[in-house]
Parts: sequence; C-alpha cells; structure tokens
Amino acid sequence: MWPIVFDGQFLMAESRLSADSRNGAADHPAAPRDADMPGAGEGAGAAFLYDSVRNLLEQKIAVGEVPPGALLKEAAVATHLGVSRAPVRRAMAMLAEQGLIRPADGQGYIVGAARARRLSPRELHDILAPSTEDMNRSATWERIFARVSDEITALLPFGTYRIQEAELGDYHDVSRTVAREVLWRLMDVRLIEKDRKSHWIVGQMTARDVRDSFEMRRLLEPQALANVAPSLDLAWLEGLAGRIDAAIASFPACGAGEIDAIEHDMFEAMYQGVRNARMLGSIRRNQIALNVPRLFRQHFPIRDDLPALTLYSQIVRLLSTGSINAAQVLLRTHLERAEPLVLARLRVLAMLPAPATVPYIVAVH
Amino acid sequence: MTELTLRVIGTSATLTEDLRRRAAADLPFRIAFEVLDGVACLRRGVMNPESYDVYDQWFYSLDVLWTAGSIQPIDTARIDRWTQVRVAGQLPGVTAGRSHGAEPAAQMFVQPDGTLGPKPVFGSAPQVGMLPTSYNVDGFAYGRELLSDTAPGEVESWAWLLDDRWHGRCTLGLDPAGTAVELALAARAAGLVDLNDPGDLTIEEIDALFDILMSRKRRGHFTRFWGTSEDSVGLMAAPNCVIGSLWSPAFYTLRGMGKDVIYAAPKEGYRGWHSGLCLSARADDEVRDAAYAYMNWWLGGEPGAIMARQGYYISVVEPLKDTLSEAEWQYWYDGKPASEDLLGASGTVAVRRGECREGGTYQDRVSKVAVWSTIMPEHNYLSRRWRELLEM
Repeated sequence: MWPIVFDGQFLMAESRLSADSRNGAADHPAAPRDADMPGAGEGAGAAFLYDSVRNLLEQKIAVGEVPPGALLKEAAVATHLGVSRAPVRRAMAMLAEQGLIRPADGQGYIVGAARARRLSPRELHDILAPSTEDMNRSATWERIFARVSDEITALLPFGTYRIQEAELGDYHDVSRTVAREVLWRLMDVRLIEKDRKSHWIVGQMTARDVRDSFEMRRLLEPQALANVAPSLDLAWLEGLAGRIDAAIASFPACGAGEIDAIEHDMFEAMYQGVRNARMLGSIRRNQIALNVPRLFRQHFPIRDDLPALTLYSQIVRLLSTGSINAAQVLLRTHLERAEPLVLARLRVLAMLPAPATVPYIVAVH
Repeated sequence: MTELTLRVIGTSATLTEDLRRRAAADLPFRIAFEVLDGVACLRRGVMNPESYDVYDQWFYSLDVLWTAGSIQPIDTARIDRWTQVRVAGQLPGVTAGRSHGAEPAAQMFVQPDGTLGPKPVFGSAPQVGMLPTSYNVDGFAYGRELLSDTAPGEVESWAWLLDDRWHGRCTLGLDPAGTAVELALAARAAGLVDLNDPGDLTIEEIDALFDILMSRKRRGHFTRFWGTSEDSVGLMAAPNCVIGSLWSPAFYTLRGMGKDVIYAAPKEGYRGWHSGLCLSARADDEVRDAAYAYMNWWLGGEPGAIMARQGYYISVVEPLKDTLSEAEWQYWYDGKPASEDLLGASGTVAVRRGECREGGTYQDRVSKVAVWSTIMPEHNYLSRRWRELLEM
C-alpha cells in the first residue's frame, strides 16, 4: 500500500498491479508465461534479491563454509555473487543486526566473534561462486516494476515530471543498473520517455494521447484477438467468464481491485500468446490509457464500469464458443464506448491536487 | 425542519450576501453559504460530496461532478417551474448550435444507462444533473480615458486585452475556464495566432497561445490577476489598471463607486456562461427536501431579481414581473434606456437615468456569444500551461 498525499488526506492507492492483477494472471491463457512481460514472473515466495543474498550468507555462516573471523567486504561479495552492491549492503546490514557478523574497523564485516582474518579472492570465490545458481536471481527489476509503475501512473494526469535514475535506485534499494532496466521497460510501454537531454520524462497524459491510443487499439486489438483466439485455453476462458459474472452479480460490491484484475486479464493476459511480437509490442504501447480507469477507481465510485463488465462477459463467452467474429465486433464496441468515459475520467482526475511525489520524481511543470 | 442547515457551496458570482439574507428570510430552515474560488469549488465538489448539500456553479462542472459520482439526479417533477425553464433563452435540450465551445447544458439529461445526454428521455418527467439558474454574457471593461488612444471609429475588440497601447495596465481573472477562452479570443482577434475553436483548443494551439502570453507577461503587459470579484474591483479602481476582464457585478459596483468605466461588447462576440444547482450524492431525506425547496425558491422570482441587479439573467423570467420594477426590467433585460436611476446589488446607484446596457436586449446579447466558458477536452494540458504562466 502506498499512500498518496492529497492536501493532508491520505487516499490509499493500492498497489493493485502487484497484488490482484498478478494473481489474475497466474493461470496463463495460452502459452507459458513470457518472462519479459511486465508484471509477470514473480513466482510464489520470491524474495527481494537482498533476501536471497542474506539467506545464502546466513546458511554458509551456519555450516562454517564462511569461517568465523572471515572479513566480508561488500564489493568483493557482490563480485563473486555476480550481483550489484546495493543488495549486498542491505543483506550484510541485516546479518549484522542479527548478530551473525560485526562491523570491521575499516571496511566490511567480520563473521562471528573470532579475530578477523582476510580471505583471499580465491578462497572467497570458491565459497560463493558455486552457490550463485541457488539464489533467486529472477530479474531484480521485476520486483520493483509494479511499484515504480504505480508511483509514476499516479502522476500521469497532473503534469510533466523527471525521474532521477540514481535516486530511484536508492529509494527502491536497487542498483542504478536495475533502476535503468526498470525505466527502459517503462519506456517500452510508453509510460515514460526520454527527452533530448536524455532525461527520463513522465509526460502529462492529454486528451489527444487518449484518443490516439484508442484509435490504435481499435485497429490492433480485434485482430490480435482473432490471432490468439484458437490457442486460448477453454478452462481459462471459463474461469474468467465466471469471475466477470460474479463481479456483475455483486456489483458494485465486487470492488475496484476485482475490476482492475478482470481488465488485466481481458487486455493484458488475453494477448500474451500473440505470436506477432510487433503487434503485441504496439498493443502494449497503446494501452497507456488503461491506467486512467485504474487510477480513477482508486478515488471514485465504480458506477460506470458495469456496462463494460457486461461486454467483457459476452466477449469471453463468444470466444469460448469459437464465435470469433462476434467477439471482435463486441471488442470494437467496447473500445468505442470506453473512449469518452476515459476522457471524462481523466478530466475528473485532473481536478484533484497533484499527489506528493516520491523522492526520485521531480516536477518540471 | 427548523433544526436543519442546508449547506451550499459556490462562488461569489451567485452566493451573494443579499441572496443569503433573502433565502434565510424566505425558507423554513437555516442556510449556510460557503464561498470558494472557481477551482477550489469544483475540487471540493468532486472530492468531498459529503461536505455540501447543494453545489452552485457553472455548467461546465456538471460533466466532471457527474463522472465522479458526486451528485445525484434532480427530478424535474419536483421543480414547480420546470416547464418555464429556459437555458440561455432556449428550451432545455435545444441547442443554438451557433457558438463555439461546449453549449451550456448541452448534456444535462440523465439517460436510462445513467449517463448524461442532450435530450430528455421520452415519456416521464426528465431527470437532470444540474438545474439551470443564472447566466450572462461577458465582455471586458475599460476606463473611458482609454478611448483617447483609439483610432476614430475603432470598434471594441477582445484584441484590446493584448494591445501594446495599454501595456502594463491589463488585469485578468485567475480561473482559466473563463480567462483562457478570453485570451484565445484576444490572440485570434489580434491576428497573433490561428485558432479553430477558442473553446476547444488543440495541444499545438495551446502552445502557440501560451508562447504569446508568456512573452507578454515577461514584458510586463499584465498587472495582477484577480481571484475574486472584490479583488477585480480593487484592481480596476486603482490608477494603474485601465482594461481587464471583469464580471458584471464588479462592473456595476465600480459604476456605483462613480468610476467612469465602460463595459465592452466586443465585435467578435461575448464569452457566455451559465450556472446551475446540483444536488450532492449524499443528500437524502429531509436534506434533499430542503434542497428541492431551495431550488424552487431560486426560480421563484426573488433570486432572479437579485441576480438581475448585478447584471445576470435567470432561467425562469416569468416571475420577474413581480420582483423587478418596470424600469429595472427595461434596463436589465430589454436593453432600453433607464427611465430612472437604478440601484445595483450593493445598494448604490449603479445605473443612471438615460443609460443603456451595452449589447441590447437579453436575446440580442445571448445571440452574440462567440464561445461559452468551458473545461475543454485538453483542460489538463491547458491548466498546466496556465500554472506555468501564473508562476513565471
């Protein structure tokens, strides 16, 4: 949960992407999950990288592989584990807090209470290198992607902002390399861009952005739906239809989070099996306006979402019965109807005071 | 019902002390007015529907309040004079289609699917999102001394707001929903920029307009910007200000103070605005009953007369024959010369015998609207550029 401060009021903006919608995407509709997909890939129990480093060192200290008295330096450990320094720094601070290691006089930490002894690079390599495979190294960027994405999305209606790469790394406890990777991926979905001075910029979402992206979606998504329809998993479709119908039946008690999750499945998970990577890339880049209803629902009643849910239910049922043309027609209808609502909701969001920014984001008007 | 206090939020345009006193005297419950500036009022309307029962502001806020779910439908069956309601002189649901920008009340009727649309649903008493009340058409004001700088036969134009002849002596309102539209009219009239529709600017048009405005501001063209009507009176009364956008009550207050100011009827046409009343989504039971009583009172004649004395029109004119004198009706609505001195809202003589309202009858004036105040589609972008202009 990340609080967005509005003139002293706290409105809780749930990190929905990371919670609900990811769970929604857990059952993949067609192909194995693409590890490059934003929001995908965080398996059950996945810890932060510093946790993995901490666990590894803790275990090696326990069995004596890292002997008492061994002097551990951040840079050397990072090198041998093949990770950046930030997670090692954090892991060692945690181990020190546990009392397993203690700060050395100069740099680094000493294991246990024994007298310090320097390990040769060779020794350290032999201890650590074989274990790097055990560590959960699934791309660090994935762990913070959804959070960074939410932090940036919250600002879209309000103005233009600059993102500071190094500060982003500090704020989320990752290296600058990882911060950069996250930013490149956000650029890939057009959430941010680079200006002529090579600064990372969050541009203000305009009515034109919304109209243009909807025009593209109407061109692309019905075709993508037809391409992917034959390979969609029937059980997945039926599960989705059931969830949509349940949401309709309990509307509006189903809540904003469930609608976010359903829209994630309808427009993100649905197309994951599209084999034409260029088409898929274009679709992702034009779905930026999906953030508007997501953001709107964090602050306002979901009253106007019911007609869309009804259409989603019909589309999914048509897909299950192989009526692909009819599903395409309804998808087009939805995309036509959604545009004015998204524009209206963007106008509402723009009336709110701009949320307080996180330290790595600076307003540039 | 006597324990109840009806909470009304709005701007100084309509929530005047005169009106509050009259409402308190006429209605069997307490009334609390909270006067906010336009932007703050809309923000409150959107974010805190629990903090008010009735929202009184311009029609362009309707779409935003409705989308946010902050207001509830108004049942016209409970509005006694509904059949007499006219929106800027027209039957509701009939748009003039002549002017740019969003027509006032273009989307006021609740549709079966819960959205707002231009036409009532056939068959039953319509439900509306906002009840039309007061409206007017605005130009700008200038001191008579300015005429000594004009060419013979030069006609009043919005371009005067950006004219170098009055460098450093122009004041404007802070709310972009009105002022940005006026400046768009001005820049276009001055031939500085090519704009298709001043009420629906594109990103490029906004950028082109603000390039001009930023450079004017940098050169010191504008004096201070005003936030409230009182503020504008103070600015225009001061010697360093000779021209500016000004609301009608401020103009008549200045006249009442003896200032020799003229209200312009720009050749490009007026900027129109229309206001109305909304019912908070949270108002229910006796609060809702009180709100309906207040809305009916608004159309009953007294508020219409109070508004008329500051230069505003009202959506139901029939009862005005009982609340305005013949001389008042003739000056304010009919565009005829005042047959006697007329008192303005502040109780001083605002109109002297023989004076004529600029622009003629109310039908004449309304037919010359060039653009209505609006939250245009690219409003977010416009507001950001606007903040940039104000903060530079």
